[in-house]
Amino acid sequence: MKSSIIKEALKYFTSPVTEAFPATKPYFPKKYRGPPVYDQDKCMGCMACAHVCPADAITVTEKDGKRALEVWYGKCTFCARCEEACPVDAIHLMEKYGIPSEDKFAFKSTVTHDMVKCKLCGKPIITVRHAEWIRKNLIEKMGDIVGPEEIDFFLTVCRECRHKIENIPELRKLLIRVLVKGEKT
Amino acid sequence: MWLYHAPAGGLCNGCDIEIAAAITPRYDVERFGILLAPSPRHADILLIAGQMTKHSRERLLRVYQQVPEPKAVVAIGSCAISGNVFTTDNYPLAGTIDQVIPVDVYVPGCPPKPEAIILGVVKAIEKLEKRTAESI
Ligand code: SF4
Ligand code: SF4
Ligand code: SF4
Repeated sequence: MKSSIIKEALKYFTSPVTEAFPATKPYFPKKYRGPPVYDQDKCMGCMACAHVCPADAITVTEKDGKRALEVWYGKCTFCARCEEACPVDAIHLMEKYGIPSEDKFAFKSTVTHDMVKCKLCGKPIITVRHAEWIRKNLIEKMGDIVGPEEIDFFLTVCRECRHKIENIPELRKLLIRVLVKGEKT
Repeated sequence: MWLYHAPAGGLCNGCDIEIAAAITPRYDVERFGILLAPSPRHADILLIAGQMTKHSRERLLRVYQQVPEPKAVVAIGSCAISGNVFTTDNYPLAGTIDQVIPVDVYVPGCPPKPEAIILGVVKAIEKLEKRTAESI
């Protein structure tokens, strides 16, 4: 740390200090936090980033069976909590700076995802990719007590319908099995 | 072009420091003909950073009125654009800056890099020149 300061100070005696901006590329220090940008290929629309965002810069809209996430840099505080929270590394704080604009809503990054509809009531529940991710993880971690069909059933039934199902004895037994296993691990 | 820098009440100083960095020899904004004015009465462009608090609202309006026409306003940072992590109905805040005075250019960032601030001011100069040409 100290040597880098001395190096920086010595530069002032040896070479011109002024950067030739805008002709040169700007200098980004290590761990620089720029605007967060979504990766549409990796993101699965789980909304973890929107939940942790302290500034509420990420808005989620659900319309016509699609979920859209939008991060607005006009509200973002560039804290990188979204990047930390994302389970699949799909949002990154880029090494760039926001380009000024006359429209304050011009600065943003968005992703959209298709959603799974509830088998019983038809309401959209989660995104298709999120369901796939949960399925993969459940089979990996709990494959010995829950079968793939049971997982599929739970992933295609919304929370309200599932509450009603809890009263069905077979599924109740399955739930208890899952919970007991969860407590042991 | 003379700049006047007005911090609007509630801010963490980060944006002020970046504005100060933008006028250091490292970026040397005098190359673009930009200078800092000591008083709003001498300024062409008003740089505003930070959230507008109830206390600073009156002062900000007064500063804005003191800037002679034609003038341009640049809002710097998330605080000035939207209130950042605070909602604008938070008790010490008086809404966003563009609800009180017209803002010409928004510079996103928390804080924005000096490069972004310079680009924002250059954009404001362009707007100002266009406005002056139209008014003649
Ligand atoms: S996958 Fe990552 S970026 Fe996509 S919604 Fe979830 S947390 Fe956000
Ligand atoms: S960097 Fe922080 S404020 Fe910005 S979108 Fe991510 S969590 Fe929200
Ligand atoms: S935008 Fe960020 S750096 Fe600028 S005053 Fe607000 S909190 Fe500070």
